[in-house]
Amino acid sequence: MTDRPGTKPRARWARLGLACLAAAALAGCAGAAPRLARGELGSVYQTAPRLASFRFDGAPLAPADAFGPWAALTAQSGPDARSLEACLADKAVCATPDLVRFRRMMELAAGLAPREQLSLVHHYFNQIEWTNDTRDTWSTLYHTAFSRMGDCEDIAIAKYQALRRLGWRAEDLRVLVGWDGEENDWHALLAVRLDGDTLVLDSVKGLQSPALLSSVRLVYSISEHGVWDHAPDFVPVGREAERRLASERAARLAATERRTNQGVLR
Amino acid sequence: MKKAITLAVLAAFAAPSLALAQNGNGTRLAKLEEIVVTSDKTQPAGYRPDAKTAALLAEIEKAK
Repeated sequence: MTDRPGTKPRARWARLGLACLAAAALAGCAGAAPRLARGELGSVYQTAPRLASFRFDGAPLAPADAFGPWAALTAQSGPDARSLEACLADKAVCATPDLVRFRRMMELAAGLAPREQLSLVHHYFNQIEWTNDTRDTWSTLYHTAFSRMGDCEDIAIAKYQALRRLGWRAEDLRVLVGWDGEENDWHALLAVRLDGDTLVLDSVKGLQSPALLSSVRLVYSISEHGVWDHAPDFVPVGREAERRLASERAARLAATERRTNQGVLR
Repeated sequence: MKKAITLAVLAAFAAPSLALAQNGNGTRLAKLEEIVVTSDKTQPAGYRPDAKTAALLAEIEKAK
C-alpha cells in the first residue's frame, strides 16, 4: 500500500480505522440477520435446541403482553376469572358439571403436597377431550375447565393457571412451544421447577424430565413474566403456510383414522 | 460543558440503537406468533397416574 501524494500518515491511519469500524459494523449486522428458512419447517432441526437444554434462567426477549396470543389470553382471563372465582366460591353457580368437577379437583389439590398437586392437576387436564384447533386460539383456564376440551397449548395453559391459583410462583412455571419430530407437529407443554428440579407436564407423554423428551426442539417459552426466544436463528415459515400445513396434517390424520376404522390398518 | 457534549453524543448514538433493538424484538415476536400450535394428536395413552392420584380422579368424577 502506497500513500497518496500529500497524505499525512496520521490521516491515512484515521481512514484505515474508519474503514475497519465500518467493516466490523457490517459484519455484525450480517451476523445478526436470521438465516433463511429451508423446507416445510425452515431450519428447526438445525437451529432449535433440544428440550433437554431448557433452563428457567435467562432474560426474556419481551414482556408477555407484547406477544399476541398471550395478550389475547390475558384480555380474556379477566372476565373469565370472575366467573371462575364465583364457581370456586359457590358450587351452585358453576355453569356446567365439568366446572363442578374442576372445583372439586381444586379443593382436593389445595390439601396436597406440591408434588401430589402437580400430579393431580397434570392428570386431571390430561383427561380432557382433544380438539383440533386450526385457528390456534389460546383458551383460558375457565374455558378449558368449562368445556373440558382443548388442544396441547390449552392444556398447558390450564395447568399453568390452575397451579398459579394453587399458589405456585410464576417464576417456577413456563409454557414451552417447540416442534415434536416424533409427532411431526408443533407442541406446547408446561415446564415446572420443583425443589430445584425441572419437570415437564406433557399432555402426550406424561410427567417427565425434559431429557426424556428428546424428540422435541424448543423454539420459545412464555409465562406472565415474558417470552423467551430459545432458537433465535430459527425462522418460521409464515402464518398462512403454517395454517395450510396444520390443515394438511389434520386431513392426513382424519384419513388415517378413517382407514383404521374401516379395518384397512390394524 | 464537556460532560454535556459527551452525554448528547452518547444519547444520539444510543437512542437509534435502542429503537433498532426494540424494533428487532418486535419483528422477532411477530415471527414467533406465526407458529400455529395446533394438534392432530390422538388421546394420550401409555402411562397411568399413581394410585393416590387415580383415587382422587375417581372421587372428582363423582362430584355433582
